[in-house]
Amino acid sequence: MTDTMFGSSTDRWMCPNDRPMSLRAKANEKEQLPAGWSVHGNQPERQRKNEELTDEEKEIINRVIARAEKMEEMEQERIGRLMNRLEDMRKNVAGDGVNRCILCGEQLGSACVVCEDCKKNVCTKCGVEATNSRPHSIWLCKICSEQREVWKRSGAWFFKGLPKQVLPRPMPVSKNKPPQAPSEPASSEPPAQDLKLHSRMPSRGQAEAGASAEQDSYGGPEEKRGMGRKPVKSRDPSHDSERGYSSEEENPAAYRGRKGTRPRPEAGSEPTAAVSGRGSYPPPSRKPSEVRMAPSGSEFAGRVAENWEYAAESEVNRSPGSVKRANSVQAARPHPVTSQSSAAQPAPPVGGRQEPGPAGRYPERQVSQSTGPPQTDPAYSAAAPRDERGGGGGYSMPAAREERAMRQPAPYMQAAAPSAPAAPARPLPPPQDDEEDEANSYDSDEATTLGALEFSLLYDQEKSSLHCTLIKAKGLKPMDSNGLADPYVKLHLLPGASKSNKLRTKTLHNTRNPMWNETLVYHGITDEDMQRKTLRISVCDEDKFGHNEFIGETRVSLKKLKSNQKKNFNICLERVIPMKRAGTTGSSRGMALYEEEVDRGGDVEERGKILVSLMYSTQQGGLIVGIVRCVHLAAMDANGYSDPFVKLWLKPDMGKKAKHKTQIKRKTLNPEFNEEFFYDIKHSDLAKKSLDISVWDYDIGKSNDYIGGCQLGITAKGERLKHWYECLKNKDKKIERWHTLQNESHVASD
Amino acid sequence: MPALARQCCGWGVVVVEFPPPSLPASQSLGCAKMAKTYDYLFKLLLIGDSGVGKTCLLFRFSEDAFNTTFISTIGIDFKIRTIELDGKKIKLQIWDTAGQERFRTITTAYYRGAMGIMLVYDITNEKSFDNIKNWIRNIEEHASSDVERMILGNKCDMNEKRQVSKEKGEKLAIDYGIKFLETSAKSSINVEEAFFTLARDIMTKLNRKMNDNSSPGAGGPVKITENRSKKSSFFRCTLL
Repeated sequence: MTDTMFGSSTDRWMCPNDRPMSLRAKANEKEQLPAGWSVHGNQPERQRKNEELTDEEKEIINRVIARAEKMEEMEQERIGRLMNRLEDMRKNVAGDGVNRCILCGEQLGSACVVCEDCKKNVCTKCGVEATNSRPHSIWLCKICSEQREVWKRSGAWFFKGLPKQVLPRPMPVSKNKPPQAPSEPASSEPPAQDLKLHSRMPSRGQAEAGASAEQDSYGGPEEKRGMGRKPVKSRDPSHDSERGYSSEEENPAAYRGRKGTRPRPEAGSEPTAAVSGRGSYPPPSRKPSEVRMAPSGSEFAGRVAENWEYAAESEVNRSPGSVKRANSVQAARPHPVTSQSSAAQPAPPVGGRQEPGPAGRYPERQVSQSTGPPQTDPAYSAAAPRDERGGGGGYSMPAAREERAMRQPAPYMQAAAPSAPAAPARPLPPPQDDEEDEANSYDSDEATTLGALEFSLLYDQEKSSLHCTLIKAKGLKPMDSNGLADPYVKLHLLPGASKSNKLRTKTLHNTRNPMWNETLVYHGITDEDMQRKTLRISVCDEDKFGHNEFIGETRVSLKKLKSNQKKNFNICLERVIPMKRAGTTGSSRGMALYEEEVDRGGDVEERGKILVSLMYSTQQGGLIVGIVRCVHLAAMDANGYSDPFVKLWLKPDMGKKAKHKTQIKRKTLNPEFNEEFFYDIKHSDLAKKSLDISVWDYDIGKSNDYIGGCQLGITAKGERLKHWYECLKNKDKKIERWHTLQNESHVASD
Repeated sequence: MPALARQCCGWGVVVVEFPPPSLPASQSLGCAKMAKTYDYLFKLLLIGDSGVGKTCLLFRFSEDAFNTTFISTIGIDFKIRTIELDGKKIKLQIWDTAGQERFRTITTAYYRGAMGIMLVYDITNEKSFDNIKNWIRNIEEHASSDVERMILGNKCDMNEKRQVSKEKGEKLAIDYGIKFLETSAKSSINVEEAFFTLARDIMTKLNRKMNDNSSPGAGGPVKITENRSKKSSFFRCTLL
């Protein structure tokens, strides 16, 4: 938390060193560790007195630091967005602050106040009355008010400046073992933190034996860790410049729009108006470097490994179709323009161009797109041919386009010129009509107008995971008033779409050619899923207030993938597969999609899956059950999530010792537990038992809800039997399997 | 909304001339973000002798759970919990430190970044109480001078083994001008209160710093401040 690293110049004073912990531990040894001791390993007592830290300890500490760094990155990113917004406001002052309002530039009359901080004159519309404890109120211009807000939010108020490198750096570990060495059962590796081995565990060495195979809990493969928040993201740091920090165009626009002093072409009357709402102001040309005054998240590559707390939070952040984390960038623009346009977007905006085109067109189109200048909208460059074909209904607003032309690069001008006269000034046909025709035509002409998407898919059969790498999109349809978009990609597995199987990329701001380079991973994907399921990849425009707009999508039947073979796709986005439902409007569009899938997936009741490891340890003379994680759990709470925990019960005749439970993970459908439990039982007895695993939703004050369960044992069937059997057969070998949770009969939660 | 704001601020008739102030940008930002993320990040730190229950307090606060098994914290750890105060979402990043001497150099590195520090002792362990002043000295040396502090006498459920009376704890706290609470992570007594109090103290400091730093005489045309309503109902820390 500070630059000074372990400054040991201080006079150290001894505190009574550590009460007899061994005694206490002994006293409590009957208690099973519930959970949550996230970073505490079982350190050997002998080292307690040593001043010198062991490598294990250093590693543990380094992991905490790494976890904190991840959080810090997120925080820096957040601060960066705040700073950018402030900077945007500063860049867009229109007046002199003397006779004209510093912000909007309006001639100041009676409605004039002086900003407390910058002492410039502002009109009351651009001023904020600061609420404080002082006897008289003060006014701040919006910029200074924002400045104060940034100070508050960033912590600068406390640290008297933007907090920068606040974490001590990791400690050097003498041996050169990277923390991520999951497969390496190094004896020095401390047992995983969440390892819930029974405290009767004879010695640490044995604990390790149990843990080594699943050592990932803190340093392990990052994807495991990331799973808590289900999307496993890897970001290419080189693309950060594109996101969030390039928002110089959007905020000013919104800012102007908000004041309502600029005549705006009637936004929202039809989709293309979204483009026009910008007014006739040329965008402020600014170098990114100017804007990037804030510490930017330059080390994104590692953000995968999030701790559980984060998991829970991110979960919140990614509820479908709503405001996303990244929204804070735009959050302040009240922009009536975009909200109007989003309301007017029951269908993809440029709806007039929807006729299914000859399949052959697609390849050429794509080529031209990819070679074109980045800002060229394929929709526009393609306008002329489309108009020939009589489908140019979307171009009903020449005025809007002229405005666009003023700020669009030349390629657009060329394309627009011929098409403008041909544009029929009639309102859009209802989009639904077109959609009916469009069904499933991947190569439809309109696809090019929505943009092209490049991604790759890899099914890792061994790890039961589907890796979806979203590379980039090109020429996305402009969605925002500034002619750009804030695109992100959502993934759903169909059928059975729900929050639990939705993944999304980050949002990149103000670009129609986003480069995400993010890999999202679905865990627990079985061969059966691969046969049965379809991956829906949709590109959406993130918008303030949650009116995220759909740009286009594509669907890939997972059958098409070969196991362990990466397949690259470069497709054109298409519109939504037609829906029976009529009258879906803008903001509820996302909902409609969900409903649609829920309907489709209704045949199979999905309770979720659980990854369980079993190992019979001959050394300890017992069974070690590891609860690694669950995915796609059914949501039990009204908020669309569950607070899951897992109960284990080794039946029959095991008494009180037979039951264990994990800690509760809050508000998630993809909890990562990484907990292990020990059953003291003879191998010969184990064969007669069966292990009842049940997943519950913790409810305060009510009885817990049963999510699903499965029973492993010799009387089980299929995978469950196999897993049990393999465990019995292969002593001291840790075997991990995914099991599908079922709504089986169960005992009441206690 | 503007009307409301005016009332709150005790505006007189004069203000009616002015168009109502529009919603501040920051406010709208707050609203949009509110649902999904946090407004402020407060960094807290737990210090105290080994075994006084720092980790348990944190565990109680972050997970609402308790564990009787003692596992000594190695170096440092942190947990997160987001709370709401005055309509603001506050993300608390709470650093847990090892009480053991051998980790001291590591843990002190975390003092500087802390906005609030919990000093924890064990009411059944007099030595841990006596050491509080050493911990305070440690804070003075390593932490920001603005840091909010609070003393917690933990394990107050174990009254039969009590070695430090509540009065003694209170007196110490008063001597240092620090807030004090007796807590029990095990019985979940005062744990929420403790963290909320510390967070609130930080929040108060934030508001005071950020809203009260205006220089006088800057009112311009709007200086109609006749009704100086005394509302210094600030929840001030006893220290200040």
